[in-house]
Amino acid sequence: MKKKFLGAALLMAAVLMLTGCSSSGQGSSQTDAATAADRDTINVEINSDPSVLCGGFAANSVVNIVSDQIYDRLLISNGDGTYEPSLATEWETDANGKDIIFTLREGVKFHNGETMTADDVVFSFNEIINGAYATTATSAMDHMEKIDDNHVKLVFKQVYGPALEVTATSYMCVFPKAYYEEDPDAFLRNPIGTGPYKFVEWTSGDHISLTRNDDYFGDPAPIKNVNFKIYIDSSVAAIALENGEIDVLTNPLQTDRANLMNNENLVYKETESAQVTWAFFNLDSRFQDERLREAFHYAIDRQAVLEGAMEGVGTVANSMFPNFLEASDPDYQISHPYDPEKAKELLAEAGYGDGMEINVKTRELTNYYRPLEIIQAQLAQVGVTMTLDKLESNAWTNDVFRTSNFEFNLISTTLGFPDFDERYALFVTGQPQNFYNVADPELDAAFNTNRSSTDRDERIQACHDIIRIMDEKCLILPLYCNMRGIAYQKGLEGIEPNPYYNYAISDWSWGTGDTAAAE
Amino acid sequence: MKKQNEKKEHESQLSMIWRRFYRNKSAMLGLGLLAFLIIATLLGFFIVDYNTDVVGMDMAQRLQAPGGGHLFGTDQYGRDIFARILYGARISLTMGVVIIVISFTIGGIIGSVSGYYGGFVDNILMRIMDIFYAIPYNLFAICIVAALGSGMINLVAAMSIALIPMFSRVVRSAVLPVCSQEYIESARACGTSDLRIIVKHVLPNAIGPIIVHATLNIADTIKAVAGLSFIGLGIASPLPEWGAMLTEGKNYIREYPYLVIIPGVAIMIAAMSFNLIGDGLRDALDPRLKN
Repeated sequence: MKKKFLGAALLMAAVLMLTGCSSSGQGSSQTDAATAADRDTINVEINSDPSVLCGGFAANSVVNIVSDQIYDRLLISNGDGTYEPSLATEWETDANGKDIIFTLREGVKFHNGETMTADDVVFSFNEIINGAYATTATSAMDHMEKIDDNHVKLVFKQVYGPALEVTATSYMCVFPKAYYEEDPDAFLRNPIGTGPYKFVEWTSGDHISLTRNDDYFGDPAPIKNVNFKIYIDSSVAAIALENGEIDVLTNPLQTDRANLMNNENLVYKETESAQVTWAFFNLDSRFQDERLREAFHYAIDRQAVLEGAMEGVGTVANSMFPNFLEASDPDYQISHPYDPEKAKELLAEAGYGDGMEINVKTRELTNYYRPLEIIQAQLAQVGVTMTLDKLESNAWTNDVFRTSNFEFNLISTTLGFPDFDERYALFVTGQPQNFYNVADPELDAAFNTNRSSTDRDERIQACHDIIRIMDEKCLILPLYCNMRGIAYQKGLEGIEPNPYYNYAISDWSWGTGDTAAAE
Repeated sequence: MKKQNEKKEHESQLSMIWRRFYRNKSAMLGLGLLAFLIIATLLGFFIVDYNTDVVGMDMAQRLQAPGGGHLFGTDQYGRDIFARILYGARISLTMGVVIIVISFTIGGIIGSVSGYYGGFVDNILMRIMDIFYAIPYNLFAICIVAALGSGMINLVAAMSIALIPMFSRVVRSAVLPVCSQEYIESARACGTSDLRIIVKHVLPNAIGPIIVHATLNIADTIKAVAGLSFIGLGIASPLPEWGAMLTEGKNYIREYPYLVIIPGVAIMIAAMSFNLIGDGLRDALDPRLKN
């Protein structure tokens, strides 16, 4: 008899373990940074294993946060149309009005000791321009050419408004030509750049270590070692932060926000994010029927999606662009607000009066499937039965984007640089990343005006047109603008939340006072 | 006349088993829990409306604590947890029983055929089962779900296939000693067909350990279904499977622990009831414990 109760007790323990096992996560043996006196190390959370460690060969913010520490760009954007010099000390527009000539900094050394030359810069740029990953930034670039040992010219296909902005993105890394050509695949895992930190080791699925580059041309980084630790489950990472296993949580979940804010040992900061969550249609499917797209717009209560998926933190979006961009139009009222009755009528008109079935594949990330679960329930109210499959991220990207194998889907994506042109490659007819099969001459015209005009007011008007056209024709279904939070141990200085998830760790310090944060 | 006697004796054996089962307190607790679950499930058919209570969301009502307007509170989408637990009981119990019945039937056929015929047939069938058996059962189920996609039907198929090797072995080992009994030999001598011998004479005499095993495995199956749903390979949203409810609640575990405690306890009760019943049956059927 005793045995049975022991069995029952064990079973109970097992069930409790099932509920609690996610919190045990990845224990850390090497870090007691929160309490250690020698604070020369910082542990930074990232939420997935990067595919490569060079920003020019991936379109992924996790790759960027590592890559940005190892590589320098020619110039750094302040986000407001002004720029700081980096590898380039000066730049000017060519006499033809479209190309840009950069003066390169002299004596910059790569991590392998070699001196950076104009050839390296030209090679890096052309490699990335000709590659497939950076098209949102490089679609207007033609090539780069060498003028002399200290000058390079970036040639654009046309007069291009955001020319400096795209040059300052994380995509445009500068790496040593000879080292890359030796073995391009090895390079992507063992990066060599010019940045404030150099690569030490990468244990897949666990951590990536960097250490300070003492030959850096700028101010040396105050913190010597950086460990990026991979936490797939961000709520596990929040607990790790509270326990001092990590020092900075770059992807706090909204569900942990209150806990982190109330913790006396931590600092939580947030800002409006450049991340917008929107649903989209494949116009080469049943959704080429505009009535069906309108019905989906009417069926979805965006406020409820924001409440349920994001704890109500953020704002309902009227476009796929964050509201803080100069060209955005926060006051624009969407033309198809929540109205389930109208949705039902339109569905009936489109021939789905007796119901409609649709399958949606999504990623296994809460910011993807939670809004979709709410949309699923809302669509059920108007007679649309939606089934939801969760896929591993790479499988999802391949299915939805590479092969356009979808009808209706959802993405939560961060703008790569602060300009509407970032979406040019996604929505202009015939562009390489137009997986939505959008082909709208009026929209193309607006995107092209924004791209090629140099007149500020004309560009803003074109952006307002983009917002209006996409909304009125129901080309995509904007849901909400997210907030970007960052949480860190008290004592750290120089950390500010960045809308683009753009972090320069060389600006951070443990605040001991003897080393000032680098600019 | 003779047949009637046989029947009487059979009945008395059943009542003897029941008597022993009845005296076992923990077994009766298990039976009580199961009865409670079944009543709750049946109740669900009358008081729970799928579209409004189980999957209908209401953001104004989200994350309400248990008590008040909602007995078990509401989840992050404002759905009533009590309704979802009741509906989830239907899923868990059905899945548990259906999977065991399917795998038991197929495994039973394979096991009894190989146990009865022995030799070459036995060797071939059991070596095939060995191949499947070499793959851990959970991993096997995960592989099948990964290949076929998640969903209730696929999950039933995956779990059933994964359980077949074990059942065929259990049935074979229960059948083997029976096959060498004299009454089987005499049935053979009378020219009774093999099918009839297996169904009428072999299986009924080997059924005890098989039933015990099946009951205990329902508990494991319920846990496995919850586990697979927990890692996102089981029953898809918005169906309120208990394991899926655990996953949904886990991000809220620190501030709204009831979101995981309630489905966790539900899984525990379901698994425990079958475990206790299975244990009780084993004791009741064990001839060595006869008194």
